[in-house]
Amino acid sequence: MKIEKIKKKIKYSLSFALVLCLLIGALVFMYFHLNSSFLVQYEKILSDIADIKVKTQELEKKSLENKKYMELWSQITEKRKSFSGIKVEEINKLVNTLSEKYSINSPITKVNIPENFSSNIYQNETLSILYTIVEISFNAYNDVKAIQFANELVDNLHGYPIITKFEFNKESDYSIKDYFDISSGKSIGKIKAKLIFSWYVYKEGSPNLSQTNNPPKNDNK
Amino acid sequence: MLSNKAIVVLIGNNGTIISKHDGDGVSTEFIEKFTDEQKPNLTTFFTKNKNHQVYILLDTIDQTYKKKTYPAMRTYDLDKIAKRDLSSDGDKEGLKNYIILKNHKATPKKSIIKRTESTSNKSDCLFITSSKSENISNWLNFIYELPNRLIGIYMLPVESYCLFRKILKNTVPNKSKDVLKIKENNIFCLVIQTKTGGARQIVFSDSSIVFTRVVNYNFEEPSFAEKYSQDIYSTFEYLKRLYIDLTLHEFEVINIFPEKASSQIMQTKNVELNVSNYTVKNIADILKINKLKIEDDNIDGIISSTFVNSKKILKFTNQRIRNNEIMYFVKLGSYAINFLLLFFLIGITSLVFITNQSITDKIDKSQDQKVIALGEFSKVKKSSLQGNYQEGDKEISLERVGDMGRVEQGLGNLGHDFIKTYSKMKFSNNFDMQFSFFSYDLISFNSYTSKNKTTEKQLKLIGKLNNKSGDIENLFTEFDNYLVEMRKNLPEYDIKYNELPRNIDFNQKYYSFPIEFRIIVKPNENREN
Repeated sequence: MKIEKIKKKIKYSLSFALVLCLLIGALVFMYFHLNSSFLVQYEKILSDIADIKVKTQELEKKSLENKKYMELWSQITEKRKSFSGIKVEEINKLVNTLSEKYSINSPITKVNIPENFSSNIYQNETLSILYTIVEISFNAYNDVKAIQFANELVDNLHGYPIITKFEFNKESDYSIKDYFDISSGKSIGKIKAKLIFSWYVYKEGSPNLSQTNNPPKNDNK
Repeated sequence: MLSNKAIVVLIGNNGTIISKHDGDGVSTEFIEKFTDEQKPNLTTFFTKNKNHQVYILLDTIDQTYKKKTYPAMRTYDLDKIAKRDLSSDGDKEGLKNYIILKNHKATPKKSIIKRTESTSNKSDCLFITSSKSENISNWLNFIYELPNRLIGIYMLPVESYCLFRKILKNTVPNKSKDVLKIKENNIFCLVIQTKTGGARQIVFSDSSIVFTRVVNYNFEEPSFAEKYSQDIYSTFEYLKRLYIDLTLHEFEVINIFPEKASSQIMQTKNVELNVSNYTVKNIADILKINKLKIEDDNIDGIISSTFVNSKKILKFTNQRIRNNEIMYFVKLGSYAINFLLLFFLIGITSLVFITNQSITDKIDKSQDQKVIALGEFSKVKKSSLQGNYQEGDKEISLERVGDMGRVEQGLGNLGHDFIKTYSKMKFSNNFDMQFSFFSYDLISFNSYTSKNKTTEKQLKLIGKLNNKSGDIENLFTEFDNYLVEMRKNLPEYDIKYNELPRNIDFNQKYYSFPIEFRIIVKPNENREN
């Protein structure tokens, strides 16, 4: 056979092989490209589905929460819902009024500077929470009056005054002289009491970054 | 038998026979002289049968067979030396090759003939050369240009060994496969008449050709038989130089002649000679070659037919044929690569298709799932409580309701109730006891979290229990009675206290004893955080 003819055939054959290689290369590329792009698309759909499911669950949860909180809403007193803020003069006035009512002597009131309560704790979106610690020490003639004073004082405050500590002690028993002194206004009573409470009140306005501080610590462990 | 597609170009000094072998049979054509006028017809013939491989078989006079003996060595080394000897030959144009002869193992008992040179410690090599005549060159140049694949050039005497073996195998009565083993020490002389080269003696040992010589016979001549006998004797004498112990009985002559010539030979009544006579027709019958048309008394057709269907013994080649072969195998290789690539292409196409299909299915399914999820979402959205909460005339946003609800949930239950607890303890007036200390605490309260599940409200009372009689029995009784009363009136509380010590002095009077109670409001387990 003519060697030129064979060479020609080889040339054609190799050209065909080259074409086949190119086709294979293109197909391999297509395979991986399609695979990866399809995979991306597929994964996106899956993540979309997961997102939708999460959102659905969140919505369901939120809906349930809303239902629960709507039921709870009617149980929350107007006092607790109040947006009056924290006013020291109001506390002092209340302390003075109740002191007279329950014969409380030497009441000393200390109110910390109110701070914004972190919105992360209650995830509040539409309102801010002000927080402070109030400490009142006083003298009373008896335990009942001391308890009634503390109870009425806290009950008269709006928002959430949470008593974290209330204690009193009787230093000694009353003598006849003490009774005379009390009637003449010379004695201040033998019951020494101390009341500490955390006070949370609402403030209008959505929480912002500056309001995300941690509250001052008032923990009993 | 004739299954190989091949064309054998048998070139001799008297002309050329072109025989085509395929499933249809054998067709032959004799060309006395190769001229340019014949080329177009021949080209057409070859082109028509371009799938037939071409073998060139030379039946020329100028072939030389020269045996050379080397010291015993490995076949590989012998091969290298033989090649070197072959290349050192001055004739660069001629066709040359060699056969490494099998070592003759001379065993005294069985061996009748002892080769003078073939001993176990020597290696024999038969060098075969043929000059490339103008006629051969013309044919080669012509065949090179044809579309057919030229396999190689072969020598008719060498390749006749297969024919000889077949004849021997088919003419021995017991037809044993190892027929030649019986006669392994014999020397055979095949005398044939071809149209292309005339009459020829070919001498074979048990394993290969020994030599050949062209003998010109005219069967019409009256002195033919005499001349024939002389030639046989002279061949025998020549062989005696190689095989000293060779006897006339061991020198078997097989004639393939026309019947007339055979009868002339038999008439000479030369009993010494071990002669077997066959006609071409006899041989065709013996070898069961029935597709070949026997037209004359020449054996060319049978030789080429046997050659095509037998294992080739010795190929003569040149650079051009070698290059052609290399290119042919490169072409085959490229076809194989193409086939593989095509196969791979089909495979990968299928893979792409299947993968695409499966991914598309997956995507379709996931799209359906997405639609379902979206449907579910919109359904929940529709049924979910959103917007505002109506409280009388007031509209309150649900977010506000949620905000306050969460605070209420966290702080609403932490309100004090000590006044209620304290009032429940009125029964204390019935006991002779005095409390000097009261405290109320929120235990484990953490203002940093909305979850104060473990927060406890604790009331602590410290005082003393009076005992007017001073009797210790009364003291214990009074304490136990007080405890019973406490548990009765404050069932929803945990009451903890300091026990009266049991190791106190019973002879002593105790008019009062210190007491301490802790009243703990149990954490509200239903409280949600």
